[in-house]
Amino acid sequence: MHLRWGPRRRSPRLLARGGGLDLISDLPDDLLLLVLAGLPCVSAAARTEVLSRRWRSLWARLGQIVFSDVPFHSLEAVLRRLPRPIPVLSLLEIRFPNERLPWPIPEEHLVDAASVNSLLRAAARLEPEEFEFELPANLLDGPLIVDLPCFHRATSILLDLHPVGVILRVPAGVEFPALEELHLWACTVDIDALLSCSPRLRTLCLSNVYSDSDDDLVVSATVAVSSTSLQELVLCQTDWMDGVNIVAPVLKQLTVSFSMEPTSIFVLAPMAEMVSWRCCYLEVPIVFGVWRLEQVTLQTAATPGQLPSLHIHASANSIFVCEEETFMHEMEKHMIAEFSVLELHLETNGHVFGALAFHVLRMNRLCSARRKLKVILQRSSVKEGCSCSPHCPCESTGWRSQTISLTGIEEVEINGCGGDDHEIDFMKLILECAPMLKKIIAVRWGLIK
Amino acid sequence: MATREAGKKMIMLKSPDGMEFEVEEAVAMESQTIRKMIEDDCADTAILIPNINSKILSRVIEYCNKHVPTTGATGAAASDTVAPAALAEDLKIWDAEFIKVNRATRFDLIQAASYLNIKGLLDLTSQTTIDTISDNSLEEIRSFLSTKNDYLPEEEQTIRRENQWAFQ
Repeated sequence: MHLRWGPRRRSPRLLARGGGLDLISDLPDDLLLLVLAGLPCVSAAARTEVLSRRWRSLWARLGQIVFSDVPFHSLEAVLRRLPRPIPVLSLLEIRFPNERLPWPIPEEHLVDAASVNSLLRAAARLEPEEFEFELPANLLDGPLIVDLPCFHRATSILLDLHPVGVILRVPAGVEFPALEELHLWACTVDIDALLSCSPRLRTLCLSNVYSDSDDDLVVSATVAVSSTSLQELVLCQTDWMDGVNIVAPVLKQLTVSFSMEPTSIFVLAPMAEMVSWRCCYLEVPIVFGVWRLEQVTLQTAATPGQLPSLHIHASANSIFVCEEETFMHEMEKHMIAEFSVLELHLETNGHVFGALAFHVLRMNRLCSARRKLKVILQRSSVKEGCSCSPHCPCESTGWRSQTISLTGIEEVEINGCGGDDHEIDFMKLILECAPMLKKIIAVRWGLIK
Repeated sequence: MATREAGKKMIMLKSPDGMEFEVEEAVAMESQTIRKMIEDDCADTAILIPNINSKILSRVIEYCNKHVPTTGATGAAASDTVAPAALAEDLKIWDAEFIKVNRATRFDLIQAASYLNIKGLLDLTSQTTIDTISDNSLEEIRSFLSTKNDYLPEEEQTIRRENQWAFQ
């Protein structure tokens, strides 16, 4: 609490109208800083320096500085003018305006690695506690190699290097002793090196980030995170990737989203309590009979009381050949945590789902672990079972005569039933195979349960 | 002014010019400074608020009365039957009226809000100044705030040059 203010001696007349007196200059520094902090951009705050001596250099003492409209080539000089050390710079955020420039962009406007590195060093010199930096996407001329400087006080760093896919290096001697949270967007980086110089790192968020290591000059599209201290990991990949490899023994929270399927998945996170895993299949068709795999999600309790569940989304219309083993193998890759509900979301397009469902249920990991099976049928207007011939691949496996042991199943729900024969056959078969079954729910297509 | 109601604890606030204001404890505790005094048991039967004259203190109490979360002494504040959005809208209109004061009062209120640590009032009272600086040219800001340019012409030139980036 400041104590520097006191009653002012003003004539009652002036007090009544407040006119003519420079009242604002009487306010203590912290209240003037409060006003400056309320301005939408730091350049408006800096302009006040010109008002009068009272305002001189005041803005440079702001605890949070956000640059959002200062052109790249002016910024470094501004950062270097800021006094060091600022008592505490709790936030330094650097984003760039979307300048309208002629095409091709004049050379003097282009941004190269040397100027980015120099700007980052100028930012690091101010020792912010929280640092956010976004590259000026429109001013880059080809790929960049960026060297991270030391941020001694930073507890949180966010680097958005979109869209060029910067190679981010961690030079020897660089360290982040206070860093607890790191967000990286679009770069290739030696994640091991980064983790080893961030001993307090708890949260790592990687979006379109690929691993690179010194002994491997060829960058493969993989992401590998190995850490004994990480508690939260977020991975988001919208681009193609070869593989993901996570070894995090104390990880509590894992959030993963792949827009395209990785070839190999390895996850060792035995302590993970919150898992949200989502993988879309866009590129390589993974097919069983007429069914094409579209998405696999695995979700542990998002809300209290909710059971961890694996959701498999598939649609029937595939023109590809049957690759039974691949389908099964793909789904098994995603079973990185225990679950007790299996949901099949099927876009049937007139096809019979029994063969697919029993194919999935036959998987070793599924037979005993799960408690509830839910089949959600998204039907077209075609009457199910009538659109395909007796020799349609959807009936290929002779599933009606299969017997498997489903000892773990206690509840089955089928949503979107049409009352077709094959649905009745499916339910009969479940009744035969699941000795512990307590409840079976069938909800008709078009009805809201 | 708050009136004594059954079951409600009252607090006496005293301004340095000798005026006394009896307010509900909940209303007084809108001020984090007073809240801390009460919680730390430093509050006697009456709390002297230094440096805030009775005119400003009564306005501050008026603000707190309106903004106290439960049904306030003004009666028209929160009620179970009023939707939160409507209530927020009502408060916004009320705030806009409340802050229609002359500049001297506004700056006194800023200082009072700062000392008493009432965030909502501090935001409300400083916003007018923030808008003035944000929306106007330097000359206009000087005129609105009656700020006298005390730089020598060459000094001003230097500062303008240093801050050229901010004028782009």
